[in-house]
Amino acid sequence: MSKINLNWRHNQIFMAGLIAVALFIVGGLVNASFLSPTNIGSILSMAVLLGFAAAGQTLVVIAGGEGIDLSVGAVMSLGAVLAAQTMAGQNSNIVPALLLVILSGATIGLFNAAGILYARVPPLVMTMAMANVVTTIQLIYTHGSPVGMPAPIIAFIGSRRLFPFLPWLVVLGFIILFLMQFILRRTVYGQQLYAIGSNYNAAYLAGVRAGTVKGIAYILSGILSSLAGFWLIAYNNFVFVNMGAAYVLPSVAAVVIGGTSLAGGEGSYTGTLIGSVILTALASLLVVLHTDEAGRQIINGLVLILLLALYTRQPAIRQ
Amino acid sequence: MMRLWRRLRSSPAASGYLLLLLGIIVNILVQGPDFFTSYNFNSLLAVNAPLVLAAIAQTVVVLTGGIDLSIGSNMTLVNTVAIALANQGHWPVGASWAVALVAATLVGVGNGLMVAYLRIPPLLATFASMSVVGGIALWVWPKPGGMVPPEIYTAYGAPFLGVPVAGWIIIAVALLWLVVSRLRVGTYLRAVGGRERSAYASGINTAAVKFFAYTFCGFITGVAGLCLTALTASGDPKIGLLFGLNSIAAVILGGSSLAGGWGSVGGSIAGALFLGLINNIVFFLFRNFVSQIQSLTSVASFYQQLLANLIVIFGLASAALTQRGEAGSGPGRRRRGGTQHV
Repeated sequence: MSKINLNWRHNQIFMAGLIAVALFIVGGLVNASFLSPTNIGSILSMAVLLGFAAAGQTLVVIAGGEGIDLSVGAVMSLGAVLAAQTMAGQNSNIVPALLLVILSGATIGLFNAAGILYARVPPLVMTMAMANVVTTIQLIYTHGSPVGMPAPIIAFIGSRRLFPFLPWLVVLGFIILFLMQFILRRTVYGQQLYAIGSNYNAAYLAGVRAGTVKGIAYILSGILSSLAGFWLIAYNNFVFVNMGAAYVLPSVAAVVIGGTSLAGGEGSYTGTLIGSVILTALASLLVVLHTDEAGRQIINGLVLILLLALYTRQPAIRQ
Repeated sequence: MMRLWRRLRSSPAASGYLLLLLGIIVNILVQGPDFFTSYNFNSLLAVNAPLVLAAIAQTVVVLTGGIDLSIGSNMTLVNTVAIALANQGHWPVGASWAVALVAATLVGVGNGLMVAYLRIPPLLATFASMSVVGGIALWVWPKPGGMVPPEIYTAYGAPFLGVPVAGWIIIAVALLWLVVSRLRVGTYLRAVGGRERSAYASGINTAAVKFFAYTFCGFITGVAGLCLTALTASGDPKIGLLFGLNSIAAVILGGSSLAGGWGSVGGSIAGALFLGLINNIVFFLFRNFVSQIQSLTSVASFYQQLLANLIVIFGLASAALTQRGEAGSGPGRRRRGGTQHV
């Protein structure tokens, strides 16, 4: 049974990969420059940024219990603002900036976890309310116009390329992929995360400190999204308010397209990364096609519905 | 008195009513006797009617164990279609508003098809339709502008037989819901939300019930969108942005469970009004007390938002804590230790 499951899961990632390749081929047919190393490089860079934001989302969704983190975008924005202000273009400020960014993400994750575990607020609503709070804190802190810029080294990693098609950010993406796979597959914590996701009560009765494991998932999600904000300003090289707002729902979509079930208990980060590539390639393709904002939203939604209908159909109820 | 209290306490909506009561008391304290003027009641109802209606729409879907994220975009679509047809297409206002209402219902039909027949999880299905519907709204009316005949928006804000027109609309929709929930389909909605498999086993066409829930939700959302249009008297492709998630917050505040099966429209109305009152309270709090503090005045509006958001979290937490249902959530169950079902 587990073998069939494994095959099926791999198939889903394989299918996602196939869709990604198909998108690139369509893009190349529409406009040959779509397949230029430079363009592929920038698509991959943006996919890594989305993948960063979706990393925490993957953990939270795997933990189950209707787990979802809608504060990803707000935390990302706050991380970007804090990183830019603390670094202020100085290499010597990188370490304090990183520490501050990680601390802020962890704090917000902790509040999310407390609301979900102790006050029993559904994750969807708790993280949404938290996102509102974090966004207003960001506005108060910056008065609406954040200052600062990334340190030269960070900006270098964020925007330069090793080869035309291989930005440094993508190298960073592989490191994150390795770390996430290690956490999920090789650590006790990862195993416990899958356990509480597939059956919370059974895991609890088997001695897993289920609440703690779930809480840590939200804290890790906060940290990872905050770091996503850190790299977002490195990539853009400037900062503005609510930079991360556009990443919230795509991060959920990337997780789902990558084959992680919203019911929890299964999924992988490799899939999430491929999902990020699909979403970014699609967005880039629509730009190449010169569709306006309205057309982009409509096509994005329709493609998403198509993917969802292919992937996430629940079994029919039968006797 | 005690019996009334016990009855109230046993209803899941108790938290919603209590929060609303608390909100009203605090509002009277910070606003003073002006709270009791009919002008104040009129404007409170007129401003908050769209959210109240959106919360009712959301409750119908939540009862079946679903969720509708697209309510905000759908209200935007209604707004833009009604404005675009009347202003650009030079249609009669009545006809263009009717078309807008039909469009909203069709969005509900689409959501229903995806959730009930394609069996896509509701959260994802409505998230995708949110994008499509928002895109169509942007295509229909790309920039803020346009206008509504003055008769409509003055009528919307005015009282009729002592009750504001906005209040009458809420009463009408609530009555409509009362009728529907007394029909067989109302029972089916709860049955599907409680345990879909059992509902199916007892011969209920669960797919059709879910389809009905999303369609009905779309229709009420249409009414909410028309109220929003009458209130703002112009078209704006970003107007509904916050309504989707706020309606969910209102439903939680009203004591309904996102797991489905039980919930109360009355509680959701109370929850939505509580959300509306918070803004009122924070506004008067800042105008009457905080304006003396010099350092705060420059960014006062941000602090107002922050305070309002924190109160919402407090409300959500207290609503969730007082919720009791089959999920076994609640402080009593937790204190006893043992397993928790989240």
